Amino acid sequence: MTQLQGNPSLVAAPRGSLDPPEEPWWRFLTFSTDHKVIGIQYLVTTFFFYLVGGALAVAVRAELATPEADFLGFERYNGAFTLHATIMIFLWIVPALVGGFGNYLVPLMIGARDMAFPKLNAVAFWLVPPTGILLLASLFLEPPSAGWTSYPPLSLVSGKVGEELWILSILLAGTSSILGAVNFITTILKMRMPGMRMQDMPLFCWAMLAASVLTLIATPVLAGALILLSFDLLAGTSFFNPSGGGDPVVYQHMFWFYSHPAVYIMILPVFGIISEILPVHARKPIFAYKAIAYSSLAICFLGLIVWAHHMFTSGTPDWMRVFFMIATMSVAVPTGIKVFSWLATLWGGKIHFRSAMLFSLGFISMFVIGGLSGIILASVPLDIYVHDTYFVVAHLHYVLFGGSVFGIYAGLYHWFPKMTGRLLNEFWGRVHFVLTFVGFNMCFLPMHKLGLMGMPRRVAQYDPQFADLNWISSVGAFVLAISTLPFLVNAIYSWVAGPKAGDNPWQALTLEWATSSPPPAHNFYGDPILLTGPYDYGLHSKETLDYFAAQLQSLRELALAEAEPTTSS
Amino acid sequence: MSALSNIILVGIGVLLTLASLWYGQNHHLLPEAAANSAPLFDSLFNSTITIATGIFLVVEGVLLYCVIRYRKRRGEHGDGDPSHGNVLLEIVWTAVPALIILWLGLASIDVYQAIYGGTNVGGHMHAAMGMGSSEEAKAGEPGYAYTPVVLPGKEMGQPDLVVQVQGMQYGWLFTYESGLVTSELHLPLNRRVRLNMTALDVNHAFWVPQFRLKQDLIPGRETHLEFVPTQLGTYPIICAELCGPYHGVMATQLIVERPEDFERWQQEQLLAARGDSSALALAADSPPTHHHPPADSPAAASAFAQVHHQRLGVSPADLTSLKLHKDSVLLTRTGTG
Repeated sequence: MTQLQGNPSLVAAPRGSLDPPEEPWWRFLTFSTDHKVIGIQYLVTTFFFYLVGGALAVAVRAELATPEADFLGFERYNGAFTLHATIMIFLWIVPALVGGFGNYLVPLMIGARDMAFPKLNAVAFWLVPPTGILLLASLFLEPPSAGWTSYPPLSLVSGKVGEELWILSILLAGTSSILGAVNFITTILKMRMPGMRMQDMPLFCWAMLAASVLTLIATPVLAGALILLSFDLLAGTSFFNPSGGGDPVVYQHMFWFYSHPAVYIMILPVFGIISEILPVHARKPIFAYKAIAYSSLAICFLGLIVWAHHMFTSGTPDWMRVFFMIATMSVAVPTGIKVFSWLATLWGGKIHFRSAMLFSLGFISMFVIGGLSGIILASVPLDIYVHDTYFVVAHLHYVLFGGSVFGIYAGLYHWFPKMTGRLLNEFWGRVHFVLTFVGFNMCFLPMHKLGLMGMPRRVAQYDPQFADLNWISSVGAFVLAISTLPFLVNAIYSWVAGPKAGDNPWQALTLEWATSSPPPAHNFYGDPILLTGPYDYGLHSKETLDYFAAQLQSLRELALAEAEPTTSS
Repeated sequence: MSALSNIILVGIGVLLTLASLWYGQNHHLLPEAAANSAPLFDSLFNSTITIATGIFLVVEGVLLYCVIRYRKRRGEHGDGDPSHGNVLLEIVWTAVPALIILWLGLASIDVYQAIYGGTNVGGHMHAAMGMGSSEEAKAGEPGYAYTPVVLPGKEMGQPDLVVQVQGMQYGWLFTYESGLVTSELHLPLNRRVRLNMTALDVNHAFWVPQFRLKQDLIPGRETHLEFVPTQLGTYPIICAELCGPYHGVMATQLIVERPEDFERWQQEQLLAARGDSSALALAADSPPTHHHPPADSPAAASAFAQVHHQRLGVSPADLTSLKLHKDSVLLTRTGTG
């Protein structure tokens, strides 16, 4: 199916007739409809916003290094944490995973030439820069200051300009998400290559399907909430304003109806990425493929009926709290199935400690901690105590950073060679991992205790008894900031001048590795052929693997011979 | 598997269990317990920590074992053992978490009913509709079917005293049945108190960590808390819902004192209030009883008073006019002036 061990002539293909034609670098700045270009556009754009959100986080932690509000001051602080969260969610994690990895990988993994709606895909991407421009503009004009949750009535009295900029940018981001979801569902259900049934496709595709269903159902409700909030803000209506007969809690219901599924949108693709990386770098089939696939669908369904666990203190009735508690706790079961299956995948393998694997191992460890604090948050009486405290901040960062960001880094290390044709430096990858792991835990582990001992969230000034733990946390944040440097330098340098990767440096079996690095514009030379299951490590003899490689070699030569004579560089 | 490895496995299991049980009781993650609700919360929390520690140790232990035992060694090529499923294992690791969360869910329902049962029967829009407050809410509400007795003779829904609480940017007003309005909450020891709460401007939340209680204050509706303070002392009341730039300094104090001291304090305050309209402000800086912290300590002057006096220029006259405004616009309370 791909280049495999035992066939050295193809393992490191020299530049020559087997490479795709050079495409101009400035295509990344255009309205390209190629899903691979769009995927990279998403990844680079969102990484830029990750750095912006990270700078805001450093500003927040600089303020919190001492108990007094003596760095940003009270007003600017609220803008800082509001923009930090908004940017990280809507301009980094969601678009990087769905728009970046989703777009790049799904057509390749299912043997398609592009997504179902390439132009729609480009439109979805080009909604992202305006989203970012509006939020960056608010940084200079008037930042939104009511938290990324923007609860009324506070959001109606915290500055019209900032709040409306926030609303408009999220509406753009939500539109982009919805367009993408339509594209993914259609592509996955309708464009798999002949012979690839649903149960033959890589688990990343199952994850993208589940995430896209969530996006399609939930995002329009957020749009509704924000449009109504806009009317209250600008036109004097009273949907959520009690002085006019409105109800602030209705906003909370509408907001969380989207924002809870949003967290599953931010983690399901990562679950898919981990399910792809572990088999390759542990040289073992994924354990319990069907259970992992169906658990993604279970999480999708359950994710839609748990939103009010964010509202256990909002005066919601008892029966409602109990219902949402039971539904929320149930999510632990399919999630646990995945974690145990990943452990079983590692068990008995031959584990290569490349950067992608290190970040995957870090992901499992950190996400489990986040999941356990999530179990505490699922219980109504326990949640009521820790709601709106630093315990929640700890939980959300363990699942969003320890989970999603570690997963994104794992995916970047794993697929960078496919996307760019060059290898990242492994030594600096390990340095990056160690710095990230240490800085992350230093920053966020103390927050569990801070919240439990009485520190609320979203405060610029706090009781001096919390000074020591906050100091440690802020030092950790600075370590985290520094940790991005080895990655940035590594990525930029390697993209330009790193060693050539060849088609399949990891000797993996999924279809994206069965073509060149980077793939040609039409993804595959000739029609892709399905020679093996996506996780059949250890199941084929050396003779079979050599036969696969020979098949692909001849297919490619045939396709290149039929193409224009001036294809080679 | 050999007998030796079975013994080792059981031994590891025992160690993990003991470690988890120990940490569940010795985590030092919570402040002191000062109300009837706290021990209920703490026992559930400790059990949950025990289970979470156990799960974490198992997952991390297996991961580290794999990383060591199944690492690719130098010179090794080829793939791992191609196993990809085991039905029994999958059933076990589906059923065990399901049982754990079943237990946690039931235990949580128990604790929730004991602490909050019947206080949250739906955020009726009393304020906006101008209805009377808690009395009408009680009659015929389904929530009051759950009345676990926490202290003898003291049942949910039958408070010894009722205090109206209003939250606003950036402090609280507490109105007692006697008509006294203060910015600090004094309560008598071992008496059941009910708080009827609302907000005057944006969302706030009333949080006392030592009582393990929290409830949002939402403009346009009334929310409630009921509890019995069981320990003398001064505890912080912290706002726990973002309410503006000064959310971080919106805090006041809850002072639990002996019932006779509480009565004496109330009488003193009422006399002072009758004599001088600026006594409303002085209620925040009332003379320390023997349960107040020393007058010159940072904890004595409530952050609320500090912020108002220093940053926002709110004078006692402003507070008086706010009280009058409140009476004319908002819901009427039983027994207040």
